[in-house]
Amino acid sequence: MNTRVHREGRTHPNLWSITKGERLRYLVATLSSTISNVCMLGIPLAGMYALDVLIEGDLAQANQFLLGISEVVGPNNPFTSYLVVSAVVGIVLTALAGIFQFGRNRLSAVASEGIARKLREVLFDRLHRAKALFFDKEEIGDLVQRCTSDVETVRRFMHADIDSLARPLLFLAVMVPVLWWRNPTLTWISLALMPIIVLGGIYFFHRVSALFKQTDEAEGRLTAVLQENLTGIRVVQAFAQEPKEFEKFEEANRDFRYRYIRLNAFESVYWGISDFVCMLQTSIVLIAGGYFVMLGELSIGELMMFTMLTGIVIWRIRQMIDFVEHTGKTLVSLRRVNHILMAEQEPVQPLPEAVEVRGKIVFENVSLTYDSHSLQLDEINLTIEPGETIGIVGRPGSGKSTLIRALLRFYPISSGRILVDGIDIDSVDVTWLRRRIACALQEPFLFSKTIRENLQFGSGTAIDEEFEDATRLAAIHSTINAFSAKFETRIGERGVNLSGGQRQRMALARALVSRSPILVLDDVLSGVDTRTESSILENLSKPHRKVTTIIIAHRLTTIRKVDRIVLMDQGRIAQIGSHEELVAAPGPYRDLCEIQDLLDETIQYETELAAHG
Amino acid sequence: MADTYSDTELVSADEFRDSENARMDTKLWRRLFNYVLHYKGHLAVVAICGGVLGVTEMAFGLVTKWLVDDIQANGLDASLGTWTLLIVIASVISSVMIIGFVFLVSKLRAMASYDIRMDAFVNIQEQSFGFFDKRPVGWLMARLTSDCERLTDILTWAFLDFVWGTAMMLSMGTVMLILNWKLALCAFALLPMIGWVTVKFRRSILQTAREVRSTNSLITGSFNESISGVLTSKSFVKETENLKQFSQQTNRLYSSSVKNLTLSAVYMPIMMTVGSIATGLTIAVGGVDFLNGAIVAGTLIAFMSWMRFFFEPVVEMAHWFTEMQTAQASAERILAVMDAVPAIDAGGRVNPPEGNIIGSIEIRNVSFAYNPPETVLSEISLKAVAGETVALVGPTGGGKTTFANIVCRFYEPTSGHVFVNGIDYRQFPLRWFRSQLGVVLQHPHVFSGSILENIRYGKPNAEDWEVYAAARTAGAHEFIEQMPESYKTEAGAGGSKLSAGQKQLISIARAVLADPQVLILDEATSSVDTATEQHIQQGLENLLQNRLCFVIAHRLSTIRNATKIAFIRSGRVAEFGTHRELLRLDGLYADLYRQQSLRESIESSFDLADKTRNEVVHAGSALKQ
Repeated sequence: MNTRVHREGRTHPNLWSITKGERLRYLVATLSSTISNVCMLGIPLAGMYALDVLIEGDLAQANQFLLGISEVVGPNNPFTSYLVVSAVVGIVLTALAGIFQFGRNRLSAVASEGIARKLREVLFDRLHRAKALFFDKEEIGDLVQRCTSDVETVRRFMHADIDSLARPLLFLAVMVPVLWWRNPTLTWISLALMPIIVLGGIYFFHRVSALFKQTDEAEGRLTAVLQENLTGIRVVQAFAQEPKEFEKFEEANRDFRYRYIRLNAFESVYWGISDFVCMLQTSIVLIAGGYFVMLGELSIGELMMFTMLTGIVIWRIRQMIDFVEHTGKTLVSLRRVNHILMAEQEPVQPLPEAVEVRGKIVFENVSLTYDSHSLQLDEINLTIEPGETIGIVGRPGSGKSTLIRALLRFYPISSGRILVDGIDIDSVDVTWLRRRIACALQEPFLFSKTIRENLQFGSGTAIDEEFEDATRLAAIHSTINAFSAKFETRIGERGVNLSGGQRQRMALARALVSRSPILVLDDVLSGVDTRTESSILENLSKPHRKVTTIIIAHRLTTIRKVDRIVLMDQGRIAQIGSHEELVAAPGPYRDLCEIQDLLDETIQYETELAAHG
Repeated sequence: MADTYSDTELVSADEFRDSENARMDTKLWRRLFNYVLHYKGHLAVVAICGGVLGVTEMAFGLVTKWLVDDIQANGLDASLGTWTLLIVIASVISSVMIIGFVFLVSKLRAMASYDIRMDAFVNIQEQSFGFFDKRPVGWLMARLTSDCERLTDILTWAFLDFVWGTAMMLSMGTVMLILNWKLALCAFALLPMIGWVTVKFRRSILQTAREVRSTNSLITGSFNESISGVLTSKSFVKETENLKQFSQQTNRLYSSSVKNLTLSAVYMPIMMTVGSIATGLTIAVGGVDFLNGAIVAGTLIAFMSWMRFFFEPVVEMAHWFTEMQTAQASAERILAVMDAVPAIDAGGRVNPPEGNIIGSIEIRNVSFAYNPPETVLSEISLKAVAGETVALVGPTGGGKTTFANIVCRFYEPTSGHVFVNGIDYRQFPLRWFRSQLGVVLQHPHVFSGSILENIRYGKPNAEDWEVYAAARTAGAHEFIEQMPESYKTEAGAGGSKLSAGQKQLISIARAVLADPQVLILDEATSSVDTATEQHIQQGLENLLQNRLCFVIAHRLSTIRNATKIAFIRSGRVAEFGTHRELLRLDGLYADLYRQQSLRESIESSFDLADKTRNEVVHAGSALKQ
């Protein structure tokens, strides 16, 4: 069991809560980056002393600690050795700053990747355990987007931006005392324009956030148009609608271009102005500092240090605006991720006491509605005995598939109850229910794995003979053997394309492998020719294979031999009974049988005619 | 339906390959750069902005030097005003240049993206089905979205950085040489070292980045598949097991990403340290010179500030170079999409017939192979004239769908001809021919949008009442009326609320609305009950007067009514003729018919059963006479 996933509670995750488990790392990372800042500060300081020593030509201006070292290293020429020591110290300090910077980055890499991994796994798990109804309203592409690029946005924030508010402030915190110590007035001057940078930046992003959103939306529309076009390209071409599609795409493409350029026009002005303010700040320090030097209140070394440090800090302060921007984007992404995390989950319920596995199904007054507009199922009463085969027929939309979905608890029923082996399926865990139902659904889904792996989906413990057996029953065995890699053949995008009928039979084989007491086939033989179909049905009705079976079908061939036939119409059971029973009583089915008799006569006639040439 | 053993290997192998060879394919980039070069004016201004900015950055150091020297020499008489003015001018120039290039680079990028996307889109639309068989939608999407953005990003910003970096390094280098050649040479001496470290690291970073990307696309694939197959997973109770498999992927991504980020985290500090050697040398060497009087204080300060920026362009260009290496695969792929030659020539040499009437379609000696030499159809010949319905029957995998696709010209015959009105259909403009077809494909596709819009796709300018009429003919009207918002009901989100049968009916309505000369139904009613199917057939009868129709079906009730029946097996027309003729022949079709029809009938007696019965009664009484 994956602990990363299940430790997580069902709270609404936010920027703070998802750092759980990684906070110590972030704390150490912040400390590390502070130490790195202190080292960085030492470099201009060393330069300052060196310059002053040179210009004044007086070792009295030197830093006593460095002077001490230089006297030990090279006592002959004190000036030269002092300079060399300063240079080396500068390099060592840079290296130290680098090492601590590395520490910060490494720690935040581990932390952010850990958070992203947890997020991905939780998302994956939540999606699997979300109620089936959730997927009716969602678009696959959009969900995938949320699980991938939105997670990536969060990850990047957690790596690069999470402390980008703290870093410049910590740098300021160690820098200001040093500047103050040398010259309080010039310190004030070097901080003068910082509030403007910060407030201006916040104001700007506040103003353009609408433009950001519009640009993102335009990009989303472009992607949607493209996806629609490509998924439906065969229909597009079949109806020769390329010119219209071109128009649609051109419009979306142009709209995105327009919005992107407009957004960047605003951005360019912002960057220009804020860069100007940054340069202005450095220039003011240089000029004012120069003035102080003229007055003799500042040394040249100090002037260099002031300009250098102001230059470093002002750009860092400006980068805080990135934090504002990235935080905004990350919050949006997190909200999109939350949409999945908060999807209603299938409840975890107790498993029933050991129940005899028989495969009896009872529908008691079952009604179901999707949207309280119309009843999809209307008072269904039906008892299916163990080992019985039931055929369901009816026109599209009459509720056949809905009945199956209700049985599998994909859709919640509005009233009534469904019992499987005497147990109300709503009262026990869904896994108990689904483990005893093997199904092949309408438009079956196969995974892009090997055939064997797909079959193993039915049962992880099945052995080769069981695969052989199931594929033979499903009349897909010879198709598989025709592939050069046989059962190891990959299906799907990176493997062979199966035809509709082959996919259906593969899904049937997969269901058969599981040997569940209940077998459900939802329109799963429609793409199979009649001859193959009847051989499959014969296989299924062999005594040792006889399990409770529900077959939805459209061809009477499929239906005729079942134990009982259910004829559905508008969510109700219109007729029910065995072929013989239904023939005995007047009703739609008997009408059909009369037609059938006449048809048989026609065929006899035609055959005789053919025989006599 | 034929098994299409498409060689997706080709495409998919390419997808994960990031051009293992580190060699840059300049021809590729030059071609892409043409998209940017198209906007010469913009590009020239960007170059000017970048160049001027590079020189201005050097100038700041120079002004600092003059200022310090002036103060040193003249004390209180220094002309602070002049230097202030110079600095402000330089700042204003820089800002204007920044505004200029941020705006223009973004604009260039947007325009080049637009053009590339447009070209690729247009070419994609021209491709035949074979192209799409081999390329998944997601793959194509990535080419036109993320790849496109990434490439134009490189083409524009790398250009700017190149101009800026060159201008800055050249101007700084020159000024440094003039001011003090010894110090300048110290800086230059470090360049090879910087270059070596950069190349070393970039290579390893590139490798881990590749690993991250390929694992990432695996994870995207897993999400995609697990969402598409969520009901299957649920029904087999595989939630826990799937997660276990998925965890292996996330663990792999975790370790390769951490490795990648760690390498990047090592690179920057090393670069900083190497850069600081330059500053250190300036202090030591320059300091000694200063003591000897060979250099003034201002120069020393200017060198110290320049040293911080001098190596930056190297780092930037190294970054772009790696980006180009990683993106080379993207470049190859997008150009491949743009260059793909459509397997079908859409132009035409012959004018469409008057009144757009298609009187006959003849298939003569047609053979076809998706991947030669595995032929799917061999030497097929048959002819149908207006007013006829040809049913295609036979076992699964015999080539029926392929045959229909060739009639539609979604694929063209590998050998042989298809004659429309006696003229090879390759002579006609493709779009004209297609617009005379009404096709219902084996897998019905529903677009997002309302049901109304979906049906109207067959004839974009159709009135509402025409849509309703088409839906009635297709037997779809009834269930649509019962939907919450009737025809305005959203069909999208993959049309997930619609059953397979309902999607088929909508597709048929779409084809009916197009009022085609040729109707092609490929198992169009396989998920529809027989009564509804009968209803559709009756509706189509009117439509098909003097039109051609090809029908693929398994149900004999559908097939019996066809004018002619082609029994297709193993890619050949085994038997061809009317129902009676084929029975008399007593071959494969007669076999199939006897075996099936004894058991087959109409599954329930919805309203149209009566009519069917009358026909059968008629046939029956004929027999008794």
